[in-house]
Amino acid sequence: MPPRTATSSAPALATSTMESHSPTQTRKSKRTRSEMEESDADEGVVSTPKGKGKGKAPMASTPRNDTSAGLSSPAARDPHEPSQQTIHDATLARAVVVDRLSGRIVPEKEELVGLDEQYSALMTVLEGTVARGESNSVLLVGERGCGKTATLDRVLQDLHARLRSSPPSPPTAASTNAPAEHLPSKPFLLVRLNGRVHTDDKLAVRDIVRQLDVERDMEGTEFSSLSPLMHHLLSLLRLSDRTTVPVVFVLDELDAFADRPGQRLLYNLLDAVQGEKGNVAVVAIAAGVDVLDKLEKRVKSRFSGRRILFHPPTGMPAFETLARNALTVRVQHRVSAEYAEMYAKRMEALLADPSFKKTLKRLSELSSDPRSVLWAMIPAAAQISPAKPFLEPGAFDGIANPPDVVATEIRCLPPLSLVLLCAAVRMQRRSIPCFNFAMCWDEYRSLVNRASARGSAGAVERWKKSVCLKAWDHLTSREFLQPQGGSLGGLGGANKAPKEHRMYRLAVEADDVERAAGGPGVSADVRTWARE
Amino acid sequence: MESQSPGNTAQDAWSQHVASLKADFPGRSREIDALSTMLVETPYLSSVSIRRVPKSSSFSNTTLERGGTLVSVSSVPSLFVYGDSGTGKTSLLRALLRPFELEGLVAFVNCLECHSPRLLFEHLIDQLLSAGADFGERGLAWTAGTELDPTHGYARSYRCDSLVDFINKLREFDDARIHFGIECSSNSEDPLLSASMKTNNLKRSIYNEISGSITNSPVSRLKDFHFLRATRFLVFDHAERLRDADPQLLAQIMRIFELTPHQNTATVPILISASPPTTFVDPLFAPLPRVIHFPPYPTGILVAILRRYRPPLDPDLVALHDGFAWLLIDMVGSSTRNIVEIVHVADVVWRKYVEPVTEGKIKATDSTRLYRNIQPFIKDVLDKLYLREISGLDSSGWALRAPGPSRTTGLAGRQIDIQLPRHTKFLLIASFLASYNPAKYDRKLFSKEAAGRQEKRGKKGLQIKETRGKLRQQLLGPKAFPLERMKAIFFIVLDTSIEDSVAVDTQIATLFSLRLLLRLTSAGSDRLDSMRCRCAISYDYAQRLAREVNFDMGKYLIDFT
Amino acid sequence: MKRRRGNGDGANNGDGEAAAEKYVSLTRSSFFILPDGAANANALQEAGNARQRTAAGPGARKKAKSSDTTHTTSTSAPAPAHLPFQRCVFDSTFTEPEALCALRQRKYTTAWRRVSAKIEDVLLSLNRDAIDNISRFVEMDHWPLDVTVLPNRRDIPTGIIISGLTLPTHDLLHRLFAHIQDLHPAPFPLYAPPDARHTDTDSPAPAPHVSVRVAHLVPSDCTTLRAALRVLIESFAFASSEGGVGGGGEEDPSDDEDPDPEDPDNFTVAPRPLDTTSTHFSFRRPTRTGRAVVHDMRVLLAWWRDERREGREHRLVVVVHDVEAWGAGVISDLISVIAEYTTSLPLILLLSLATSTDVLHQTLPSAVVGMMRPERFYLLQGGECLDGVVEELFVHSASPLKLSSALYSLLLDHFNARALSLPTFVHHLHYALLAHYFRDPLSVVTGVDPDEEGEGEWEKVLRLMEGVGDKEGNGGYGEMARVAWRSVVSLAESDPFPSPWDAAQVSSLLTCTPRVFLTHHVPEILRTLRTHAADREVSWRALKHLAAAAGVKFRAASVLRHVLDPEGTGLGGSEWMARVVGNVVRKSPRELAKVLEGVRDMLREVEGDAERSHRVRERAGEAADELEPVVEHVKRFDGVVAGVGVDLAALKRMASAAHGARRTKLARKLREEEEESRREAERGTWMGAVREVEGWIDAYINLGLRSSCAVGVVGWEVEYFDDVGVIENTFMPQLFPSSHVALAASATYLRCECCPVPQRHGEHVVSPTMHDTSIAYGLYLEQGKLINMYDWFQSFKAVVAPEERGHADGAGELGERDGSGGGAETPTKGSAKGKGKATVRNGSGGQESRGAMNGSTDDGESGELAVGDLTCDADLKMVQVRFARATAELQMLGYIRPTKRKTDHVAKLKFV
Repeated sequence: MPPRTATSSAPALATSTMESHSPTQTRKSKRTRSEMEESDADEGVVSTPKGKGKGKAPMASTPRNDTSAGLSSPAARDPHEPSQQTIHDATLARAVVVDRLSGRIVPEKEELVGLDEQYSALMTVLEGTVARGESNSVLLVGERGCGKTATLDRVLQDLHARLRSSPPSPPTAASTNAPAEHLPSKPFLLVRLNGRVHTDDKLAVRDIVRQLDVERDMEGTEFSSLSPLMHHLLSLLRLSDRTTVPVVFVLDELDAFADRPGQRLLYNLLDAVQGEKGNVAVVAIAAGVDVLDKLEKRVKSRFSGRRILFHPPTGMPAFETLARNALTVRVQHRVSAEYAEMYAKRMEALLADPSFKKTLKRLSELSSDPRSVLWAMIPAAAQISPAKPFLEPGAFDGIANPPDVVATEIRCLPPLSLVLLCAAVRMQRRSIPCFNFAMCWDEYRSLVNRASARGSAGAVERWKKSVCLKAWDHLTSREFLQPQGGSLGGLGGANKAPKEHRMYRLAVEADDVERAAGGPGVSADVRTWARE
Repeated sequence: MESQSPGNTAQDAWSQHVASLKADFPGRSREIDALSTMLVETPYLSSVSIRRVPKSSSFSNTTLERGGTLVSVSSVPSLFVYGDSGTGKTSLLRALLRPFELEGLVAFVNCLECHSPRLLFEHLIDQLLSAGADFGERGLAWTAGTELDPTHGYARSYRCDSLVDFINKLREFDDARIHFGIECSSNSEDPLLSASMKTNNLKRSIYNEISGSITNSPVSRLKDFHFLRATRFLVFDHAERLRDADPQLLAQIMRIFELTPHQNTATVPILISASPPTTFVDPLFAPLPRVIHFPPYPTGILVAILRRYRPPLDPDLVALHDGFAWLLIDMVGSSTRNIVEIVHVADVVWRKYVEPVTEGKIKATDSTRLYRNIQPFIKDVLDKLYLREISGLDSSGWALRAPGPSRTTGLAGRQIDIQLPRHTKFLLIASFLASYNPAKYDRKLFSKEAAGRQEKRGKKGLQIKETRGKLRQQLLGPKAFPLERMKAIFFIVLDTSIEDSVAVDTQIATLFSLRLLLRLTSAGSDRLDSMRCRCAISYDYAQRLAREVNFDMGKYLIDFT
Repeated sequence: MKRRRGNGDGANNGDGEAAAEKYVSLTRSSFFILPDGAANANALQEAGNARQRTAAGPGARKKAKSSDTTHTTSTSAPAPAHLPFQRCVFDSTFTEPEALCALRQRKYTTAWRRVSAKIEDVLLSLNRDAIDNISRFVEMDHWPLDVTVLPNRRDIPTGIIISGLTLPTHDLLHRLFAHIQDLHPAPFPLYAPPDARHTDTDSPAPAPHVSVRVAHLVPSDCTTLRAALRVLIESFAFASSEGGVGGGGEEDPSDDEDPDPEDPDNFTVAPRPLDTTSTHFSFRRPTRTGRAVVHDMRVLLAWWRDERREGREHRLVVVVHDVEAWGAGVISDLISVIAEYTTSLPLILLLSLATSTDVLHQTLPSAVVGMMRPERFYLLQGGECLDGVVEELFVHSASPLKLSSALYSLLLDHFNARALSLPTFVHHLHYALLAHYFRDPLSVVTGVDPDEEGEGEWEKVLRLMEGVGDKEGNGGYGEMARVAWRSVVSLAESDPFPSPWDAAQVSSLLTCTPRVFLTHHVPEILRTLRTHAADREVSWRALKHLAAAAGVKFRAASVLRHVLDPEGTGLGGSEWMARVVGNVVRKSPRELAKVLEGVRDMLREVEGDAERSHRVRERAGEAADELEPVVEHVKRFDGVVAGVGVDLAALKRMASAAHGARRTKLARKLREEEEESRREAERGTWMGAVREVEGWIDAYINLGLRSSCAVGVVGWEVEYFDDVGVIENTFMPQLFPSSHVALAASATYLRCECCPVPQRHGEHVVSPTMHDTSIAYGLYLEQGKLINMYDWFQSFKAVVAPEERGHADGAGELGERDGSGGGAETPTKGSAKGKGKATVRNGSGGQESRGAMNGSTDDGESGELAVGDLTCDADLKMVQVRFARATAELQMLGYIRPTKRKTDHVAKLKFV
């Protein structure tokens, strides 16, 4: 398609995204704020300096907030606009990368890092079933997110591609044609079950029937138990020449299936596999190695002990290749050649970039499984846009350690709640792990009295008890305080004790509170309370 | 060739939309940007409009003229929106996603209301399928099921109470949708699409999607991904309810992106909650979803919001209102930052504030006098308003129930005296004593000779050591006590001597039903002779009771301050 | 068992003493008569009469004494307490005619109907303004445009109805909402921009006609959020279940018992209970169920929108009753769900609290409280309602109820101290009324107006009554009245006779033939009572007026107590009255005059009012006339003296004088004299005027308000309900003592002579003539904390067995005596053997062990049984059955309960 110069406001989005990082931002907001204060000053509203301090405090605590609406109207645009081509390329590249990161598309074979032998092993097994018609069962074991499912998908897809004899005819949505018509058109059938989703056998069976696309054959049939049902199902797939269409059962989260009472589904499935002369493969996927021990004898005996182990990549190099594979955009993704090579250059630069290396290292330390590493990169990759068509090192900063939102919340708490939290912290320090409102209120009162005795009166308000209770309630609802059933006099359930006597435990970091109390706009007393 | 550059106009429309949002939600532009980067990878103006947009739609008009609608395309596995209540999480998301909502690509569900999986999923499906009405009779068939109308006794045509059913239903729906897309795009004038339709790839890929196996022909990607890859958002409000009720279902939902693999239409769950994201971590679900944080509004923003949503004013009052906003927030800000609460208070106080101005007593500019005028009123009404003790509603002469020499105070005063029978009051007092005094002191306190001793040496005479510590019973709260003990105390405490009769038991029963006395042993247990319960009244309440029946409770209380 | 014989001998001795005793007993305890033939009580009747039994309570012994005189009733079965009334039949001397009995009953029903109707009206009228406020609240526009509205956010308009635990809230509220139904509030302004998807459907113009729909949520059927929502939606949308809605009302059953995770209240997707149990797989196409998921708010939404499109708009009022009784979780969830829909539905919340609003803050999280925009409404609390009711019933009504002071203060105390609940008060009243009419043959004349012009009721009744007794009227109503009315007797004894009476009158009253008494004195009495009633009403009004002027709180209930005060002075003596008078007279002349004129005008008005009976009117007139000069006199001092001029000392003296009234006659005489002298002294002075005022008050208020029973009008019993005992025993019984009496000394109720009645209190006797349960209970008392069933049975048998022998030879009494005596020590013997067996067959519960015992006794060991040779084991079986039943009943009564601690043992339940 020919590049066209567009009258697009695409940058509007971009500008707004950039704004959030640009330093001008804060200046702007500062200015607006100051003029606001002027406004209330010249309106002569009697607001004590303390009041203003209060007004400013949270502002300072969340500097990245911009105050005034409509700052970023589409009017604000920078002169040079990206060409139609870049828009197109960037959009595409973003889509490709993000899709890959999020695992929305099946990774290419070469994108599977260090899983080659697993790939081939699995391939042989499935080929055995699909091509040579031998029944098989295999177990893929490995930690979460280290590529079991990805490999399987890859294998299946390649198989599919390899074996597809003729381009099948697209059936209509409610595909109503009998299996006999369309079964041969497919090289093999695929049934995916997930132990955590198909939470009981009825569901599972219904879904099997649906995925085999034999609903109308099962119409009105009834079965007293699973095994005849299974056999009936497989018999439906039998063709004229006594050979059935190859079927691949994928049992994800095998341990969940194993936890079922009697492991009925597993048993019947495997039994059917044995019984049928061929063409059925059962691929079980499990995270725990011990899953085999969970299986009952009768089930285990019917399961061929074949296991394929998956290991998460180890060492920086592995992760770097991972990242590289994930982030690459090639020409065959239909981006323009020059963009592609430009992109490649930038990417290499990125990979070389020390800060990125650090981030990657940190990520790999956080969790060894590739998936979470890749997912962590999504927000960064998502910033590719016509305005910023390439990966920027800056984008990747801070994805490794996201901001502690709870701490921020605490910092933004109104003084009252903060004071209460301080009281709670003091309780904890006094090695009273479980406390209730009454205690904290008592503490607060004594503190305030002490303060006023010391003459620093008015620094901290004296709130009504009921008001405090409401604040306390709010804290609990935010789960900064975590209810304690049973302990200390067994004041447990909501109906079992008056509100102010329900026991709680501090669910946030004490020093978060302390830091918050240290923040600007908090009275000195509170700071000392939090500290001592 | 107009639609060859879908990107532009779409970007256009989208950025306009975002801009208008930023105007509507002061101080949220950062969050808006974050959200739109995460959620809206590529806004696309599909010329194959699946839904004819209703004219009354609130959404920006540029798209209407073009007769197409925005679809979002994104691949974020899941999202978590965290922030206090009243920070505009839900309403912002609603507004942001409204354009896609028209496509039936967004569904909002409130986990608090949908207390069962069935409700949850059916609410979702209702919203998602309602878009189907516009593509062909097949689509109608889809939608018809979701519409609740009297002819069917407000019943749905389908039943969906598990994630499997949910996913399958969506999959079928998408297939139908796609085929409709093919049909009308093959005869659409859009060269790009029709071209792509001609190539077999699309068809095959679609077919493969349906048949559950996977293809990933990079060739066909660009041509049709806009159309095919529209992303669907499921927003779960009050997600913490889901977590508490059924963590397993929560896990499923958070993984719904993986569980619907390689679909044309990706499904992205968005959780909204005020509970810390860390409490949602699920062992089965390693990566924590990306968190978008809605921090509480700083003062400036609160003022801005009050400005934005203020009631219609005549222009000369506007300046006054701004000043008022600052004043108000200065007053309540110390105890709450919740905009909802602030607005609730603001409505009432504002009326009082402008009263003299409207009556012409004080000039609008003289805010000092206005403040002095309002101050006494505020002093006593503020907390009451904040605690919802009194109502702010003031319309059609329904007088604002503020304190003052009005009927309300009389009533409020009447609140004080407790409408309980005399003996019942004593029962309450007895149970209060029983639950706050350790049983071992009972003899010392209540036995006949104790009275004499107390005359002589006061309470100290009973060698009761008083720990003024934080762990004293007064703060720890009521202990459980056997009913017998309470009765015994009751008969001692009561000024007139009565003998135990049914009346006493019936009164105790009444106290149970009033939740002033909490029974801990279940009613069913056959232990007629020992029932444990706990007194639920506060110290002040007990004192009030004692005063009303003029009974000196302090004499019997241990370790109270 | 022997039938009761020799009833005559109690009645035949004709001396007044016994007769009085007899009649009194008749009017006292006819509630507790077991009808003849029912005397040989079987278990069924025991159960049936359990209530009467317990009701007897402490007074049982007195009754027992008084009740050897006979009472028989025409109906054989023990009547359920009131209907039908039983004819009072005396041996030979007096039988009540059917007609009169029926009449009594009719009078009772009508009387009660009137009373209850009155109470209803009073309650409604008392709460009128609260109700009006509430309906205004429901009707008003809660969504004004001039308030700040955040997007997607509205408060729930909430009415908090504080009803107090005293009122039958539900009835009242229901009645209220019956009337709210037909309000027509303003249409609901939909939130703009409305929910995107419904833009097109909601655009049409607001519906012309808006109605109100109400849903009542009662905690009992809203145990889970789901249930609550269902009730809510059903009562809104499916209230009028027309054809279209179909089975919409009830949810499809499959939804409940198929493995629907919605039951009971929470998720838990897996494992589905059904699926784990059954392995049944069937494949059906999903078909439209035709039934809605009724607890789904979307249903409500859809319904409301449809209605609106149809042009019918509803305002939805949700009434939550008894907030205290709700589960905290449920109600808070419910409210927050409602809050979710405030922008799309016109929902209004009404919470009815019993105690106070702190309940809300206690049970609900503050976030939820923050969703409400509360408005408070106060229904009248118990005390005030009581005042209203009392005033209406006892003073103002045309023929007011009359309670003797004892009874009234009993009720009042119970109200204040225990119940504080109007319904209870009403129940008691009802029962008192019932008692009066049920048991007193003379109640036929209650409230009859003797000199009603024309062929009045009085004549009819009289004719009927004259039919009874001989021509002198002996043994007729007259005699009964004369001897049954304590006031008559006391009059005879009193010396000197109280004011209106002199010796001649008294003697004529006492000596005249019963017929004369009936025809002449009774109507006289009735007349006096009526006048009193009239006086009271007038004075009451005046008093109220004064109290208002004096600024003293007028609590009708307590004032009435003063009025009924048995010590003659009545109201006049009370501090309350003293305060009223004091405040009044302390006023300045002008004010005082104003007050008095107010009173006078009020009286005039009453006089002029044609509605009222002529007695009331003339009384009012008279009072007014008397007042005129006083007012004049007061007026004369206007300006001359300031009101405060009255020296407080005088007031004190007056008050003390008022108290002095309570002392002896002599004191009273003295007081009168000094009064007289003071009048002389103060004539013409301001003090004098004040005295006049007081005089008037004394004459027309204190005296007017004196109650007939208080001042001892002869024969007041005819109209006053004064049976304290019944109420006490029925409503405030002492369960365990009375049930103890019932079981240990059943003779006191059965009044059979065969069974011994324990002489000293606390001791108990066991005799075979007793009912099985009593016997078992008697033995039970001898046992320790744990009871060995076997021993118990042995001793039981030992007591019961001799009965056969007792039949064999005539000397029944003796046989029984020592039989029971033997029975007392049998356990020791019996147990020696019993233990061994008990250990052999271990583990079995009481029942089986008894069964096994039977077996063991069969195999030839019956010979060595300690007492009573049971020839055939049929009898033995019989005994066992009886024992089983007896123990079962004891268990049911809660005396014993099975225990695990020891085989073949049951545990005593300790009682307070």
